[in-house]
Amino acid sequence: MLLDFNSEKPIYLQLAETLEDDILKGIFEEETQIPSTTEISMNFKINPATAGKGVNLLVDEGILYKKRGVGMFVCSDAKGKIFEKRKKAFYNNYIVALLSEAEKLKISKNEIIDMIGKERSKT
Amino acid sequence: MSTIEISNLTKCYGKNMALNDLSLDITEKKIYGLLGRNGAGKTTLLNLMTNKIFPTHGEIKVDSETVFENENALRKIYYMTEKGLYPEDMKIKDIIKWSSEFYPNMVPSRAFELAEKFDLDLNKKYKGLSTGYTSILKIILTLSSNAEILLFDEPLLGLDANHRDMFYKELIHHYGNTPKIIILSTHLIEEVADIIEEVIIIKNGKLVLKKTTENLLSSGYTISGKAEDVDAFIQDKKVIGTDTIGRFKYAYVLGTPPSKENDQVDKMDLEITKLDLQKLFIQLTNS
Amino acid sequence: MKILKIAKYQISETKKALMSYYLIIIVIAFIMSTFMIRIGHGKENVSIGGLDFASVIFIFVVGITGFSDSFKFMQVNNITRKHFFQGFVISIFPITAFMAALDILINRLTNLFSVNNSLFTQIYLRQDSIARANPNIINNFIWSFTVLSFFAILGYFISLVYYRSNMITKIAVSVSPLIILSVLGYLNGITNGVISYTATDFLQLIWGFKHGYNPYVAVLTMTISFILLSLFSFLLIRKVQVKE
Repeated sequence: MLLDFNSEKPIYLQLAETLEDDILKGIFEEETQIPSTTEISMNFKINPATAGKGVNLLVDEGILYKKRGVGMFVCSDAKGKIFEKRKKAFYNNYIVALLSEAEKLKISKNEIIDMIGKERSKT
Repeated sequence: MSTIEISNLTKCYGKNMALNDLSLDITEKKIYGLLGRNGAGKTTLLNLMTNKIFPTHGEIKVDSETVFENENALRKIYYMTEKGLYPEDMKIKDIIKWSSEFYPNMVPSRAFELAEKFDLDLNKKYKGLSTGYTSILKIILTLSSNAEILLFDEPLLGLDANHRDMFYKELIHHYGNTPKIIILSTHLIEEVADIIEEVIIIKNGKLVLKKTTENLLSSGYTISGKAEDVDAFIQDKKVIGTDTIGRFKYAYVLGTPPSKENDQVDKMDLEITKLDLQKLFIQLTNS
Repeated sequence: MKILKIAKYQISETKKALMSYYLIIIVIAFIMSTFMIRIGHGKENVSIGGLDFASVIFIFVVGITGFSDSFKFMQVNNITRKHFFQGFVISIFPITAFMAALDILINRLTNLFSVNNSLFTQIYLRQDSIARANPNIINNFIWSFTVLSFFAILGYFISLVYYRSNMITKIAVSVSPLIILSVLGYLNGITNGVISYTATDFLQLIWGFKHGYNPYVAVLTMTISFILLSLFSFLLIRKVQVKE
């Protein structure tokens, strides 16, 4: 887990995204416990309130849930939810922005599709 | 739940006013950063909070009781002083022993455990400690005191990078287990920026602001780019300060940042980033 | 409870110095008495004495050093000035009682094989050779105890005055006894010794050997002075601030 303290994004958002990444990568499996807020804040040397905010964001989104007296756990359908969320974000952050930039540069839809095809075949 | 109420606090040394009618309430269990330039009155404030010195005017209360010669209120606070007030010839283990006599909630075994972690030699005399280890001893005593309110005055003095890292972790660990009012007075703003939840800035003995770090940092933004473009952009904005490096200029602006699609920002190739606590502090306390 | 802990701290801080002091005193007493035996063969006119005067100086120094360092340590532990002061006063008594008892014990032991007059016998029993050979231990103890206690608080009071003073007052406080003494000396010269006569008279009166020899007059003087100095010290300590 790594946070970029110079980024424009607030730290709690970065933390939430990092936790999501770790769930996607399988570092935190579904129905297993994640580190406590104190452990997370110790690790990153951030305020426990900030860490709590990041974790609670994921609780609100149904990715994490709290077991009373035990700690935070990953929901059973967490991966699916994160995929859904990221896909939506992908559309907003990349596709919409791509098309608006393309419009400025007068790049046609077909040209874009060609470019994507070319890039894909590289890998 | 402990609360600290500071009302109309003034402290004069002869003609010099160290604190000037300062009022401040600290009621929530948070890690606070007490920030101010040299001579702003930080240490004076902490010394007044713990009855080390007496106010010229005004009052400080802990849980509605005055701290003036009040054992009950004073017992709730452990204050890591910047100055070493320990007997020169006393051994470290005896300092821990006596401190736990006076602070019944102090856990000596916790102090010894921390001493081992920090590599502090318990058989050394206080005068034999380097500046860094003096700080470490004081940190250990404060963290194991189990007092309801912890005050740290320049806790990082002389600590190397490893020890600083350990201090932050132990501090967060302690706070995570037992949330309480913790006040950190330090010059190393950049390092503590992510740890402190609320910022208290004083300048020339007066309170400049008390705000959560998040609110403070989101109250504005940094805009940077070519100097003339930045100047054009900030014409009608509330600017708290600027930095110029050659033809490149940073401006710290109060208000909500313009969206990325803002034509002016886009055309001029200006960059918007968040405010940085250290920079903001410098701008706010520059006289 | 806290006050007793503070007293305990003060006593433990004095313990080391006290032990080294008595080690030296015992060695001196032993060497001197064996020396006396060899040159005096138990003759009355060769005697040692006044060893317990060293105890008076010692306790005075304990008083002087009992303030500054302890005050800082008490402050770092957020102890109120009032409790700190009460703790110190309470710590005086066991120390002075111990010293008075030990001084008498050393004195009686050395007297088994030589003549060693304690301060007490020198002042109050010099007229009475029978009493001098076998002084009343209880009177001696009570007298020593109050005298030592007085000098402890005197030292404490003086160091408090110094701590509270700035540079100029410090110099004034240090120099004033010299000035007062020389002025008195001068006045004494032009008044044909009236002042020195009155001073001696006064000292004899308060120490209890003007009208006969009564150590309990001194006990009373010391007790009253102790109470007065405690009051003054308390007034001073209430406003002591940690120096920044």
